[in-house]
Amino acid sequence: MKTASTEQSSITAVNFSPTLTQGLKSPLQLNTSPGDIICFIGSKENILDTYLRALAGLHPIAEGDLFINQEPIESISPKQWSLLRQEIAYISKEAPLLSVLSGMNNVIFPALYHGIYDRDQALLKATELFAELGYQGDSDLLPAYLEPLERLQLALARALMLKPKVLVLNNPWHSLAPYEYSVLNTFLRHWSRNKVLIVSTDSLHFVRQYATKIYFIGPNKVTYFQSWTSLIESERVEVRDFLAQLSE
Amino acid sequence: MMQRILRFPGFIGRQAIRPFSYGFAVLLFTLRALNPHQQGVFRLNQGSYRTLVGQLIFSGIDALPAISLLAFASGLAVTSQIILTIQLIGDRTEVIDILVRVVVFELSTLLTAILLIGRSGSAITVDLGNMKLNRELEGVEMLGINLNHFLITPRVLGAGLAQAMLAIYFAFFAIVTGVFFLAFSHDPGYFNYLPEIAASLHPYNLVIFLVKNLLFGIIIGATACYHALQVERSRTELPQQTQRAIVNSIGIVFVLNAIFVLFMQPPIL
Repeated sequence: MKTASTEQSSITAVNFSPTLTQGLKSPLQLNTSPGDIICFIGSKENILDTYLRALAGLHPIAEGDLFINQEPIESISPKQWSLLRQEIAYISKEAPLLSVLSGMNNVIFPALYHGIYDRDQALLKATELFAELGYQGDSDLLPAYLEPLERLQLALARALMLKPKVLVLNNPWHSLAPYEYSVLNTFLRHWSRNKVLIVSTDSLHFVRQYATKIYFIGPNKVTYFQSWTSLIESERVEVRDFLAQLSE
Repeated sequence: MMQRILRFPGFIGRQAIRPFSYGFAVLLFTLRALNPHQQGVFRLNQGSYRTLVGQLIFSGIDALPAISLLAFASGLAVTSQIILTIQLIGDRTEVIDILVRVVVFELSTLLTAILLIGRSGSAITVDLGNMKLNRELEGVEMLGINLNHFLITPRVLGAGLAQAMLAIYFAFFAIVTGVFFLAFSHDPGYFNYLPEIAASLHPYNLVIFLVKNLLFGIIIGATACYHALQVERSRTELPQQTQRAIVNSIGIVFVLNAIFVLFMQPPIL
């Protein structure tokens, strides 16, 4: 198992489909490499999330193989999973922070738990991340008193404190106002320069601007597109319907 | 109709087994919470230590005003009444023996436990249950954090330590209040009860008292956490699980206390 911080984490899916998606005729083939921004799009949000969770090792697989750092996930021990969770961060759509901790404590507690930093170092690192993320909220407040963008930024900072190499995000834009998109997009683009970002989204703007690989999860087929151009040139009815729906 | 009649013995059997299977589930949960070597990693580190300290402050220190009031009222009502009543029918040694048995070993334990259940047990269930409903616990697990290490074990240990400290405080305060009340209202000679009560406390009984209170606190914390984690998706489950945690904790504490009295306490003089 490769877990050293200098090595890149990778996810490889071969003929892969998670449970609850057995109706899909073609399974997923995916291989990550540094700098990848992989976008999952499709009309069924829960199916997209199922794929993301399965790729992050959080959801059972129905068929095919999934390798994390070249290791089949069946052979990963619970102790290794604890380390892998630091390398491959998954943030759900709600991005829930612990409601009983202030914003800052939410960000630093995983790093303290894993012994990555002591408290002073963690506070310093969190402040650096806030600057990178463009966070402008009050980090002493409880999450309930923060704006959706601020909560999302804190959830990202919390995950980034563990120095992940793969970030798996389930539609982080869903609760944001359109004018807040650019704050998030700028950061994600900057962060993923030599790391891997896997994201499910209905933000076609993000897909058009940044995606290096696009997977369209249709009602009964998974289709891979190498670029935005190949996506919009697709003749498949379900793809065209989906794009038309989002454009309306 | 016939099928219903045939199902009835099965229903009776299931209901009879239920308390035992519940007790077994809570016991397993408690042992798991107290096992520091889960997943082969020992972690009661900075993160969990802060949760433990927070729980001790909430369950122990913040409860002092309420426990002081209870102890003060019990001292006036129970300690003084026991002394005044028993001294009419027994000698001084018997008065002290009954006082120690009733106020120090029983009343302090049970009243402290009831307060801990009502105050901290319910708070733990609501707190953790809400976290589960809002998928905050899932978010914590995604960060490679063991929920037991970070949230459950510190709360269970915190409740155990708080119960032990509060019971000792209650016993001391209830005895002193009662004796002082009698000394000032009746006769200063009642002050002599204090050193005599202290001298009558046998180390064995004190150890049993401490173990009993630690155990009760741990069970209260574990039962609260167990029920919090039974909450699944609906908000209506939260009050249901909270009331179950409270009622079941009270039941377990009283039954265990009776077992302690029957098997651990020395015979009456």
